[in-house]
Amino acid sequence: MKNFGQMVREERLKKRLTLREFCRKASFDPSYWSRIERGLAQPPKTKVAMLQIADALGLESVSEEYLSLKDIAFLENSPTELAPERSVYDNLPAFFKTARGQAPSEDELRKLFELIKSESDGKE
Amino acid sequence: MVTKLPGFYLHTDDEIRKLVEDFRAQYCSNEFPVPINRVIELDMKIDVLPILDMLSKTGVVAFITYNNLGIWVDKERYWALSWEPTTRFILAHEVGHYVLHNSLLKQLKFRSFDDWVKFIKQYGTEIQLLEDRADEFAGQLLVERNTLAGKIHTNKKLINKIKADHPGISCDLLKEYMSMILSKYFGLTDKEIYCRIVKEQIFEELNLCQ
Repeated sequence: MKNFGQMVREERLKKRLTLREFCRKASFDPSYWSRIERGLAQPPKTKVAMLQIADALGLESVSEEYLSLKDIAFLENSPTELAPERSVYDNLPAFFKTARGQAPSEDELRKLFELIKSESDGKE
Repeated sequence: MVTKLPGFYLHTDDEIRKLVEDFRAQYCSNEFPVPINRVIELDMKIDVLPILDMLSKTGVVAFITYNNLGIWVDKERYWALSWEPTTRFILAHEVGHYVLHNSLLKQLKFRSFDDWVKFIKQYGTEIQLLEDRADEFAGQLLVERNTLAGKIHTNKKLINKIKADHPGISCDLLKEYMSMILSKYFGLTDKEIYCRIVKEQIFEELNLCQ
C-alpha cells in the first residue's frame, strides 16, 4: 500500500508540478516536504495544511483523492515505521559540487556521510 | 602502480555537443531559460532532495547519488530566488554527470565510509576532470551556441556604438557587458554567460574584437 508521501508525490507529478513549484504554492518548506514524500517525516496534522495541499494540487476538498489523502495522513503517525529501508551506501556520491570548487576534506566527507545517513534512514 | 578509474572517459567538447543536442531534442527543445527543474523532476524522473544546511555543514552544494536515485542540493540554494541562476547551472551540471558518467556511476559500490573516502582520495584528479566535463555539458545545455551567437549578433549595433563612443575599450569588457545583458534571457549568472561567450568564441566569429 502506498504511503501518504508516495500518494502526494504521484499526484504532484501527475499535475506536472516540481517540488519547488508545489512548495511555493502550498507555502511548505521544500526540505520538510521532501522528507514527507520520502516517508521520513509524518504527514501534516492540521486541517489548514491539508487544505493547502489540496489547493496546490488542485483537488476539491470533497474529492475522492483528497479524502483518501486525509484518511492516510490521519492513519500515519510514526515516521520511523514509514521510513523506506534505503542503505546510506546507495546514496554516497562520487562527484561533488562544492562552493569553493575543491573536493571536500575528510572532515567534510565525514559530516556529509552523517548527513546522508540521517536523510536515508530518517534519524537526525 | 596507477589504477585507472573504472569507466573513466573524458568526452570531447564535440561529443558533448552531440549529446546535448540529443538531450535538448528529447527534453526541452529550444526553450530558454531551459526549464531544468522540470526536466529533471518531471521528465527524467530524478528526485531533487533539498537538504537543510548541507552547504554550511559540509561545504557541498549538490551531488547526484551514484545509483541515480536523486540530486541532493543545499536547501537554501534550491529555494532562495536570489540563488536561482547559480542553482540552475548546478542542477544542469548534475544532469551532466548523469548523461556523461552514467556507466561509471553504475559501477560504483561503496561498502563503508573508509571505502568511500579512499575512492575520493585515490581518484581525486580524475573526478576533477569529470567535473569539468559536467560543467561543459551544463554550459552547452543552458546556453545554446547558435542562440547565444544570434543574441549577440542582434546587439552588434549596440556593441559597435559602445566601441565608437569609447575608443580603446577592451574586448573583455564588451563581453562582460553582453553577459550582463543576456544573463536574464538564459536564466544564469553573468559569469556563466561570459564563460560561454569566451569558450564559443562568439565575438571572434562576429568580428567584434577588432
